[in-house]
Amino acid sequence: MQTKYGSYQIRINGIVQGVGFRPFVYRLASEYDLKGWVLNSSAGVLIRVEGPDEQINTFARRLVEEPPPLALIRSWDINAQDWSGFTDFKIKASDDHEQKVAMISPDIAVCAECRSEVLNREDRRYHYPFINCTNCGPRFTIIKDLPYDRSMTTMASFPMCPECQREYENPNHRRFHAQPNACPVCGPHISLLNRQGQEINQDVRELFKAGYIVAVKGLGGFHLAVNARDAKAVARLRKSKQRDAKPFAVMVKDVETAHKYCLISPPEERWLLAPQAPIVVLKCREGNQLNSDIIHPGLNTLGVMLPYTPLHYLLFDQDLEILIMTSANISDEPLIIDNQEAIGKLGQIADYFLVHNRDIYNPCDDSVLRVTSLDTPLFFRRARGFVPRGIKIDDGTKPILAVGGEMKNTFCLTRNGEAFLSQHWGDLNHFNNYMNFQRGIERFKRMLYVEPEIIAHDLHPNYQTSRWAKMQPGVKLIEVQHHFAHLASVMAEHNLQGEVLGLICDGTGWGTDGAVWGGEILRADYTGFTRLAQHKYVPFPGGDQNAKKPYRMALIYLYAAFGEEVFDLAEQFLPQLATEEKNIMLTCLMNNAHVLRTSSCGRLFDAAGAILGICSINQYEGQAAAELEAWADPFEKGHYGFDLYAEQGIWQMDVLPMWPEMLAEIKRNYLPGRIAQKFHLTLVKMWTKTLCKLRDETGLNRVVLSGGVFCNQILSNGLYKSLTEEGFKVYLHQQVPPGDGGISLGQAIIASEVYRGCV
Amino acid sequence: MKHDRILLAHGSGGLMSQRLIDEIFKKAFNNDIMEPMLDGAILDLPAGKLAMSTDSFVITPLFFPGGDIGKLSICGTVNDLLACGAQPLYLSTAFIIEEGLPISDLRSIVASMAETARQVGVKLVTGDTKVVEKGSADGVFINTTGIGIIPAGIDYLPQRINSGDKVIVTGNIGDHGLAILAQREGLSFSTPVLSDCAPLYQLKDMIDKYQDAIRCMRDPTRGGLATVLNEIAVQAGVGIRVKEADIPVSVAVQGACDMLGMDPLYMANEGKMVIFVAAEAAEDFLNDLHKMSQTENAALIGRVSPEPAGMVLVETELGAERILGVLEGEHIPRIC
Ligand SMILES: [Fe+3]
Ligand SMILES: [Mg+2]
Ligand SMILES: [Zn+2]
Ligand SMILES: [Zn+2]
Repeated sequence: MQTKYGSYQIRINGIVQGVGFRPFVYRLASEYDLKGWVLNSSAGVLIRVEGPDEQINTFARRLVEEPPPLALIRSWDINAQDWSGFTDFKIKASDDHEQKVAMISPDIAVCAECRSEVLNREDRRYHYPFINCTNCGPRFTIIKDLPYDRSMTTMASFPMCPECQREYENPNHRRFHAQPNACPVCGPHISLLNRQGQEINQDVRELFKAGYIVAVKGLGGFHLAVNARDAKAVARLRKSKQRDAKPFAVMVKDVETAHKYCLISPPEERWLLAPQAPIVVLKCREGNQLNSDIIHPGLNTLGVMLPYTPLHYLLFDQDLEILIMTSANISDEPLIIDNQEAIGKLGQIADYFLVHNRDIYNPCDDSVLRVTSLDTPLFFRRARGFVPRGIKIDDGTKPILAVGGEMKNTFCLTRNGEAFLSQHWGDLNHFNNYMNFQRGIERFKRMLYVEPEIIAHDLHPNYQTSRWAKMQPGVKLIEVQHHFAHLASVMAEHNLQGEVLGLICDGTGWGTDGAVWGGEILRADYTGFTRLAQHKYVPFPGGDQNAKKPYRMALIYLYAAFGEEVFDLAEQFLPQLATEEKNIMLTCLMNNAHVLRTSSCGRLFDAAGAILGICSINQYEGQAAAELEAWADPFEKGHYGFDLYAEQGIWQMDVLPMWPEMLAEIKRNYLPGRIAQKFHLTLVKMWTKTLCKLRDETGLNRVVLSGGVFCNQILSNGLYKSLTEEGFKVYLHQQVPPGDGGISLGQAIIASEVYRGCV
Repeated sequence: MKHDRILLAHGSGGLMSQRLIDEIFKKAFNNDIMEPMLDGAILDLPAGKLAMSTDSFVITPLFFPGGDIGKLSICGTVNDLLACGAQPLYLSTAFIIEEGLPISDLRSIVASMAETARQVGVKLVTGDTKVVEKGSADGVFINTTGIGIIPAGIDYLPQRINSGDKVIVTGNIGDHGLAILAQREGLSFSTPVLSDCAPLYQLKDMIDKYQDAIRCMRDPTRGGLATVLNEIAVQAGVGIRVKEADIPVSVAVQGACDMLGMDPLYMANEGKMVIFVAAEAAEDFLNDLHKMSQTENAALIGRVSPEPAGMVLVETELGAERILGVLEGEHIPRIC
């Protein structure tokens, strides 16, 4: 049989740049003795090959089936070409003329090979904190523009030494075209500074051991670090950061150390060791010798991460195995990324500064996730290691910009069947966060080479995002109700088509009826929704004050449940409520004038937290709910009463019958942990019953769960179980947070469906 | 007068109307220009540009701690004229009275107008009264229109504001809004709050003395300080940064706002002025304000910068910068 020869062009899209894809192609081509070239273009990887058809077939199949670990192939095609008669296989220089559809890789934790080099005394990069290769290292945080080339990164100011250059040019080397490639001779270096900004010559580990607070420049920003075993030092950090209760995350030397402090399941361990190296929220071991009152007050979980840059490995030794690593910023302001700014702004907090001279271009906070009982990840924050990786969606043809919510903001840009969510920008009512948000949009647009003409935003008129959207010239706007966006974000993740039921529970979202929503069951597809059930409204005098002061929510619920008796009850159960504030609130409640109404589930947790005496002031968002979950006793199986009835065509989920039962138990000195658990189970019961009723009415059997309340594991695991037992098909978030960090995805998919086919 | 309540006939134009005008309005507002009772007022005006402002006053309750609708109707228009840099001279007034309003109430409202006008040295020179059926109004609605003369060389436009200028507010903010709210909702605070309702005639001297150093003035009524600052930031195309700790708010108002979940920066004022002053004059200006009874709590609250144009930022005590936006509608909760 005669060999048939062919000439082809292969185009590959996805995360194929900066992940060692071209050397992989080169090696594969050499293996089959194919000729031609590979090119990193801004339209993805382009390959020309010539050779026997049979070899080319195998070559192409292995290309897409066995890509390098960090690569993610989204699409590819192959086309026959005219014979060119190539004589060798080349890696050609980047081309930046084609339409930019390439994707940037997220930052990746230092790989095993680099780690062994950095710890090897014989290696020329021994203890060099900027070691990296095509399989690991900084990406997104240092990239200014596409195509991904050193000149387009903050490594541009470090010309490679001859030895690094040789590695860089050698297709068989692990550092072939590793753009941030560097060594002690040519690359960035670290310096340890005192508060005056003067360089000092000391081992940073000795500083930790002496109880000092050190600001450490990492991949996407600074951390404030302190020895977690040094209670006095941790307390000093907590005090000076004015972060009175919010839990600190820790970094541990290795996974063995993590096991010492926490209970870790195999999937949790996989996430700890994953190349994205997120903070994983883990159950603490009892008696783990950490001072939980100052590290994670009121909680039995701890956010743990492993070292993810080579610099982090240099922070630990035999006697230093666990550090507090908390994002360095002041009171909800952006993450600090600049050396001078760090010294200026953290000078009151940090004693020393471990900095380096490689600039961070895109700030990016650590990702935080928890592993559910289904072994799926549940994101609290999706950032470093994941951004800017796209999420596959089934979208229309036009690019959409969705600007997200107000707090924990992320935005989302869609292009060709992928949704690109930004890192978290924090509370956009802070000017500097708002500036970062705007800058981020510009950078994402440039990176993705799109100029969206449709902007989706929340219904809330006073969100900065809504204001910003309305100021953009020449675009079409689409307003999306908050909880509808939450719902659509889960649907988008699972690519659900048709109608579903969605149980959406969170703190606050502006409703279509001028009330504050937060405990809703909607029937929806991507183009619209109807509200079938809600938590029964309670009056909401005081608005945002109530989110900060759970005791106020307790008073509101006590009044709703007991009317005039509330005066006595408040004295018994809410001693922290001052008489004047109580009287003013009750006057507002009784007159019911100019008072908003709310179905917020988050605020219901606040009320329960305060009545149980667990949390009467929220020092961080969702504190009462987090502490209630921590208290809950898993051995308690009971629940309280609730009512379910229709009112003006909407099912009312009414928890008022719960309060007398709960109060009676508190008086009988029931353990708060058992009451907390019964509170959770009441909600699970009530929601399950309501959804069963709604299924009877609508015939819809698929339920999606979203909203920040579903960060709560008792609720999401419990509800998943009980709904599944009832025969429902249940969908939870796995790729974006259930909280407001995820709603931009929902807004985007809704806008894209609404405008599908238009133009 | 025979009746103790306003009847529809009081608005008929007949004898009863005549008697109402004579016995209540003319007596109280009595002056040589109104006296001849012509179809209109005939005014001699000094040289300068003419400033004119109008405002209608609709408020429940009519009487509130610190003032009443009558006093308010004079303060509102007088303060608006002062904000233009004008010397308030003459006012017109029109009443829409709901049938059944106690005549004694009307009498005190009118007396309070007359007294306030006298303090300022402004004359009520022409007016009108209508009576409407019960339910068509809420007690009484009052319109006042005022004119004043702006001395040569004064041109207080937002465009005069430059980067570096200072922002001064003439006293504690939020008092009026809170006093009205408390009265309306029957809220009693341990420290009662009075409306700040006052005609800021003392500012006339400041305008004379600091003619040029004053860039622009604005009366922070509805929407409060926050709204006024935003308007100016947009009109002048500048950024305004204020320091939270420097904004004067009385302990009582702050405490009450905390309990109600409201923000004093968005609450109405009826006797305050926001003044943009050249940096070099700011200190003297503030010292002079402190010497006068109406402005003794004045404070320098912020500064003007080129960026962020059209925005107002609040520097918090923790060193963060919040955006102080314009609210669409009421304060809607946003914390999730
Ligand atoms: Fe939400
Ligand atoms: Mg006015
Ligand atoms: Zn590596
Ligand atoms: Zn080198």
